[in-house]
Amino acid sequence: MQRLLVIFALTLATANGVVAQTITQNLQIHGFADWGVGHSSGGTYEYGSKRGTANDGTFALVLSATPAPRVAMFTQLGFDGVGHHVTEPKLDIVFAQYQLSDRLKLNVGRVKQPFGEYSEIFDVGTAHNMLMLPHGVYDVSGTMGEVYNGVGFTGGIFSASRWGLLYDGYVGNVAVTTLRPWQDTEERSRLMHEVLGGRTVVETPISELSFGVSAFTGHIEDSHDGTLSERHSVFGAQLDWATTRFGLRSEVTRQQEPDVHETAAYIEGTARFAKNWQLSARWDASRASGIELANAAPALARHTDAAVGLNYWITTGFVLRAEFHDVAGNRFIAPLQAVDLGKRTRVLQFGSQFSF
Amino acid sequence: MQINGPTMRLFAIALGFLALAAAHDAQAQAYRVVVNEANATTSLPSADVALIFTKKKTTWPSGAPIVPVDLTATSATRSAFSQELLHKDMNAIKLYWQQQMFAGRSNPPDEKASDAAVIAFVKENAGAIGYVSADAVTAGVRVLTVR
Repeated sequence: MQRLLVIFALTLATANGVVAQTITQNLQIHGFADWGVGHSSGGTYEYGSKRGTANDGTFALVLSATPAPRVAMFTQLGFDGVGHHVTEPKLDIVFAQYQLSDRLKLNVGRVKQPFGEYSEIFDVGTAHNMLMLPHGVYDVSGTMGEVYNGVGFTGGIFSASRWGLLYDGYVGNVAVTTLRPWQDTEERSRLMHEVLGGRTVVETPISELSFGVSAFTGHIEDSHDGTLSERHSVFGAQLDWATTRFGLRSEVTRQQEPDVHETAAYIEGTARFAKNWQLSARWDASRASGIELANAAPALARHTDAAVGLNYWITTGFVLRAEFHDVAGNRFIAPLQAVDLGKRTRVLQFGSQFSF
Repeated sequence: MQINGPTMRLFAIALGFLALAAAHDAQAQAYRVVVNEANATTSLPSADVALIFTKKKTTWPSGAPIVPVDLTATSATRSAFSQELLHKDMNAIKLYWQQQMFAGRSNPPDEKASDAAVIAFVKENAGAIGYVSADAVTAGVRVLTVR
């Protein structure tokens, strides 16, 4: 944690305050971070744990450059601090983009996977409505990865009447982090090959109303012999609406493998009731089924989280959040003891998120 | 001369329309959009201005890159410009750019602290486009008509 703070302090010093800095017109530095603490009545969930430790934090540094007309490059270095341990910097993304036109830009490298509302801003807390993302869609259910390694395109078509069509497509491989508590208690990183995916979003002239669909499919590499085996396919739909005071966002996803299916959905709303204060609420659920779960305890296959929160926005890049979560099911919360399986877990947590 | 009830009502309605028109005019004059004098463009649809300042439209008809420049977030002129042309308040603008830059899509335009700094930037960059308050001195740049 100390090392994380030193890195962060150095970055801020370099960046001359909490503002985006342009070193030259062609190189920009941005970053985002979060920290939180919480108490859980059961197993660890988000920032909440039985003992309420206050050490978890993440930080990422984002560099972008435009070394030539039509060419842009993006890099993101990530750091995680959990307890006394701070990870080595990891290369979250690094890719180059060539812009043929506004309608077609080509990406090559390790690119954020375009899926749904949040996959490209997975850890950017100030772009979220609550401390962490909805677990059914975005946690270790294995629904999607954070990046694809390969080539892709992105672009948009816009009309004078303020309609817009945004689209992305990609091929490559994707690593998905998966926790299947009916199999074991450890998360596994599974590599998907021959991935083909895309997303389309329609922007409407109605105040910040947009909707879209995402999908991708690929083969999962067998961790024992390296052969390509199961096909993993995911479909999703999204809806987003916002005004100056209110916001509403919802997604539903369905992931399919031969022996496991999982459906997840969430709806979250926000209401700003003073200049800096905002209420947030979310209902988030998932259900897993399939042959693989034939003998699993039902609690391990389901998840429901009803949450409310209060946010105080010091600036648009710095927010303090306090939240209460009431969670049913053990899909994402390991019970402390076997007898706790199926019991509700309640989490009270506080955190801070910032970006520059 | 006697003024009867219906005439008074008509007069009041006419005054109301005049007040609305004056208010609209005052709002329309809160800012002016400026480009480099070498730029052949003399007018732009408001939808195009919105696309330019959200970097969804990045080239002039000549093929040259468009370089938008913003005033700082605390500027009243920027607030009026964003509300009227981008249809977003400053919180929504900041959120939009967070999503864009952290998704690795694009970076927000440079921000300048004053009208004079915007004018200087636009003078120096052939592809630049900016906006300044209605009472700013715009010598050396071209003021666009926003349709």
